[in-house]
Amino acid sequence: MKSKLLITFPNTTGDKPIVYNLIKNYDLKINIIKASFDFNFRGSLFVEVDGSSENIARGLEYVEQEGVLADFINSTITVDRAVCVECGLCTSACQSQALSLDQEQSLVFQNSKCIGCNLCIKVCPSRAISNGVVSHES
Amino acid sequence: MEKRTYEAINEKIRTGEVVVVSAEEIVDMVKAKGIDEVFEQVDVVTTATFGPMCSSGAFLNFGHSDPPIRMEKITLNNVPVSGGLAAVDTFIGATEESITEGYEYGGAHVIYDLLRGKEVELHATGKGTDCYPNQEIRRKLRLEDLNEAYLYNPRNCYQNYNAAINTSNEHKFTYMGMLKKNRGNVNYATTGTLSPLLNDPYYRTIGMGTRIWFAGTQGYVAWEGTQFNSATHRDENGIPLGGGATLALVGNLKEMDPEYIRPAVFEGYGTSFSVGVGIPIPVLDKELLKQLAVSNDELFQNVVDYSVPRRSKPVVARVSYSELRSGSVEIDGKKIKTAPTSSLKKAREIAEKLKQAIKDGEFYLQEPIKIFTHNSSTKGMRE
Repeated sequence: MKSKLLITFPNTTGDKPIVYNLIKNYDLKINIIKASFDFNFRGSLFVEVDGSSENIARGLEYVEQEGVLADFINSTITVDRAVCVECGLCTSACQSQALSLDQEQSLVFQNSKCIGCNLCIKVCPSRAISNGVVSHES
Repeated sequence: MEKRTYEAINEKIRTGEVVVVSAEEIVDMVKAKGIDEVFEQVDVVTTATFGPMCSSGAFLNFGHSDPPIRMEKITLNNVPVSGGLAAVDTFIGATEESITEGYEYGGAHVIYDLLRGKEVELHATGKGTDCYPNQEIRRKLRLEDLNEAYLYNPRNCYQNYNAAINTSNEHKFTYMGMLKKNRGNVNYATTGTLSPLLNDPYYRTIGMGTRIWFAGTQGYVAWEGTQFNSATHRDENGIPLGGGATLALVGNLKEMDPEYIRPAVFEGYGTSFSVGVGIPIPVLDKELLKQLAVSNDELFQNVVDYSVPRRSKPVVARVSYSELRSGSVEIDGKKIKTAPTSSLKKAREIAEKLKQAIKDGEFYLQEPIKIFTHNSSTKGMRE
């Protein structure tokens, strides 16, 4: 199964290869969508994790033992196609390329890339975007 | 053949022989076959645009109540509309904001709701006169209950425009969308080679009285648009470097299609209105065909810094429309993401619909009854 996780690192874990351990010891395929760290190694990783549900659960147990927070991001935005005029202005707000215009100038939304920042909601002039049910659980 | 006349084209529309292509298709045709061959073949080129334009609105007549009222203060769904016309006439401005909801519901939304067949609440007061004794009225009205309802947009179809950037260190919220700090993005507003006045830059066929496709019905160019700036600087293709000309448009709201009229809300700015416009351009001669064949890599826009809070804003770069459409532009060595405010998808649909209407003999070309002035320039406000 594939899940999206927001992993938040305190400044005490900078010397530990946590992502490496997740990959090596729990056989997880990790696709880093967005990374943001300061000079104190404090920051966050937004990742897509692919692996068996058992391995994902064990991996989460591991990171939490290391004092790292991991939140599932379950769902993201919904584009109401009846309201959307496909202008593409939302793509200006989307940092993760989840919203884009294709060759035909149709609006494409790739849920797997969405980081749930919700910036597009306020940018859409047609008010066609809403945040479905965004729920965070540890 | 050296020239083609409106009469000849309309005769071909009548007999079903007319050849119509879109302003996107004509570019490739001329590239492949050359001006001479394409001129012999194509009679009409369709142009189109669908983007937000604040200078939009509608005139309405409510009919008289019994006893009658001279409406002086008027709201529709809590949006103030003009009380400055005759007793039961009004003008709704698209950008007027709801008293209760602010810019999330404005004049544009009222017009859209009427068009969608929804009931809209009218509330009006007047001082009461001998001829109009009633002092207050509340009614729920639908579009079909009104006598006249016509869209009148004082300014549409900007010939060219600016692309917008923000060089400051804080985000800016504008009618060009959100502009991220430190040159975070570039937003632009044009349909490029499909855009009406880029295809007829010297207004030979688009003038007062030109018949247009207006949100699904047939409307007209009523006048020069406001801020009509024909005496502007132009490039080698005759395209204005900045705004250029604009069009005032009129059409019957009751006949329009809500698919091609949409309210728009710009965060931190206000309500605006997108109305679909299609304009046919008759291929009168080869000179005009050359203008129609100008491609997106030959159409340029200035990238203007919207962080400067002055009337005149500095130009940061000049980029082609094909670069803008590619999704990113490079400015001073930085790759910057681009996004449009106008829908090219909708504009393409409109160009196709107009093409079909002409082919089906439902839409005839109207020669302008007055050609626009070429020496009009826009002034700032007197100090």
